[in-house]
Amino acid sequence: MLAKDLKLIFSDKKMIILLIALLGLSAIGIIFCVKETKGPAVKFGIADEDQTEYTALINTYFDENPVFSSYFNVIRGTREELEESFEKGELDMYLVIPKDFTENLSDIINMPIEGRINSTDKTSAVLLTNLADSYSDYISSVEMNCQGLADIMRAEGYEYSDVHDMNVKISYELLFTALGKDSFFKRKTIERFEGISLINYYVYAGMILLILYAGLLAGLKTLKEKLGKVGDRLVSAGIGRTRMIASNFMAFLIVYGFIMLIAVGLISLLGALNIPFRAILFIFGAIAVSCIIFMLIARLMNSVSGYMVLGNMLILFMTIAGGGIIPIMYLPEGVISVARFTPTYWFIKLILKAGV
Amino acid sequence: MNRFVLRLKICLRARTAGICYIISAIVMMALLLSLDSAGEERSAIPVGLVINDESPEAEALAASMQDTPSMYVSIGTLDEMNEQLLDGLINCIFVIEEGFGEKIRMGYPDEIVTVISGEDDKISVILSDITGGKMLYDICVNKGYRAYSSLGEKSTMTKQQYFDYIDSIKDDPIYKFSFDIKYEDVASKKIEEKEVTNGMIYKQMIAGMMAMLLCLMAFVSCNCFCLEYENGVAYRLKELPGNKLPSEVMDFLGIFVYTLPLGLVSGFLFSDIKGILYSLVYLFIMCVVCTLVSKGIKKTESYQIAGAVLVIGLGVLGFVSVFSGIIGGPEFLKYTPNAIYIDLLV
Repeated sequence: MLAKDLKLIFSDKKMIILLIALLGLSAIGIIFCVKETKGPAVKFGIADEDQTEYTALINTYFDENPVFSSYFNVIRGTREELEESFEKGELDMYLVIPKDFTENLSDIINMPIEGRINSTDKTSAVLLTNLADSYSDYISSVEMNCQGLADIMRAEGYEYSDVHDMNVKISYELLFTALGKDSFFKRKTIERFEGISLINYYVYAGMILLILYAGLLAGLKTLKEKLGKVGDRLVSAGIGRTRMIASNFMAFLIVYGFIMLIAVGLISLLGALNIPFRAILFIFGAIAVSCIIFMLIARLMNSVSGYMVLGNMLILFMTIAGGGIIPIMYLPEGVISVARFTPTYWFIKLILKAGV
Repeated sequence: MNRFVLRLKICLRARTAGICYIISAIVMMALLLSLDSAGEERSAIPVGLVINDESPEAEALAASMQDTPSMYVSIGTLDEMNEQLLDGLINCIFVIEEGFGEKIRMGYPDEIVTVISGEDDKISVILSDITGGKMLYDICVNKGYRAYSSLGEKSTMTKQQYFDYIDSIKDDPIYKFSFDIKYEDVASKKIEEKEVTNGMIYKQMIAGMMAMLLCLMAFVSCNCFCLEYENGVAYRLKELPGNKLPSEVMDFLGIFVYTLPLGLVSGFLFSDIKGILYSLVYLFIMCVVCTLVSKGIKKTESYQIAGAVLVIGLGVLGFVSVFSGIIGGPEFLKYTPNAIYIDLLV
């Protein structure tokens, strides 16, 4: 019975070709995206019109900080050059450190650093805004403490030269402390837990989406068999309904499992992603659950159109509520409670933990 | 015109499909509205915080982290936070180590906070930068006081008086540095009046989901063409005399009008009149594409696979386009239908 069911699935050549094309395209897409998305992407320009030791220190920080350089490609130039590049769309942001900036800073004359952010790409604009906010915290902390100390010394009658010397000394010390902020932190990573990088997350979300669609197809076939009274005919031929359903289910599990294995193997072999071995078990488990859900729904339905609407909408709902589009950590609490009832949530959760 | 009315009647008479359509649309809209209302708060990056130090400095850091718009902080024990990290509910864990306050007071702030994250994680480093900014005030004020007390007899202020003075100027705008940032949409050469907020990322994601919903609606509605090929009706209609094109167009318009309510409601709920227009244009294009695909494929199973490719493919490309500026995705992404829809709507 199982062999015949498998033969039946493979007899629909158009469908098999489409399925393989879909998985092939997905695998190529993933490999292409992963390979194409390396290196700093945000282009960040700096024009230093002040050219003092302090601004040189800040510039060195932008060059030497590995974190900064992993996200930002720093480009230096004059205000005019950067303006021109910005207008051409070659820069995402640029800053101009104005002339006399350091002198004015130590005289507590606030001369803001001018900046322009290209808001065509909203996501980059948000990241750059947050970064600018955090750097203003750093500058404010240094500035108010240098000036606060100078104020106190002046009020206590210290000579101008003493106040100036102390101001230079403390400014250096605090500026170095601010630039050496990485030493405040000790970093630990959880071994074999790759974390929630966007690409990995969406690859897993895409996998479960394909698995759900595979289940939908299994259900569609079940529904068509039901509407065509195939079950009644098989019963009259001495084959029970349970056996028929079990055989159908196994056939789909084998076919979809095999195709998914090829796609996952391709992605792993070409080095686009490192998918842990344990994840294979979860993939088979997810295919089984997906087939069961949709085959059950199909048994309850009487119209192909109704099944198509319900099945497709259900997949979209499970994908959105289960964290397949907005990662689970960004969903509101109420939606997270709903997410726990979706296969998408459990699949991504288990697969993320698979290597640990 | 008869064909248009007939197609609409056929669609509306399919009760099961109609009921599924209405229920699914209501549930999806409720879900999207719930996401939309939580957009600004939940756009912040979730992090876990473990406080192993009872000093006022540690308390102050915890409070200022909670006030940071770019972070959504959950406080708990290390075990609880580890569990949440592995479950994908938080991005990383900040552990304020024992002796945090003491080390800040002594002026040696090395490794006073431990950051725990996954192996590939980069976001935690940006979050550390933001957290470092919050810690720096306390570190600087302590270093400043040490410098002041080293001056000798002339310095008469007590530590408390010194700290109070610095605190008193903390919120003074004269001492507060900020960048003078202007936003410009270089593509349209427009200076943005709206402030760029974290919620914009969320809004783009919701727009992307709406695009997927509209695409899915167009796709499932056009399935009737496949069913008509499967039961032979479509072939019989071809035998009828006369020009086929006008009746095909009317047939298509019937499907478009059937899907129209969802386009109108989604545009109305999440945007303004322009949004409704964009939604309808997008829906119209998707209906054209799905009609052509269904008439070309003619078989429900194959059409379902092609539809999945269309909905997932366009959806994924649209979502990746949202982050392509940061991750350096390929340029063509922003010209895909869903990316254009997201851009126009947000």
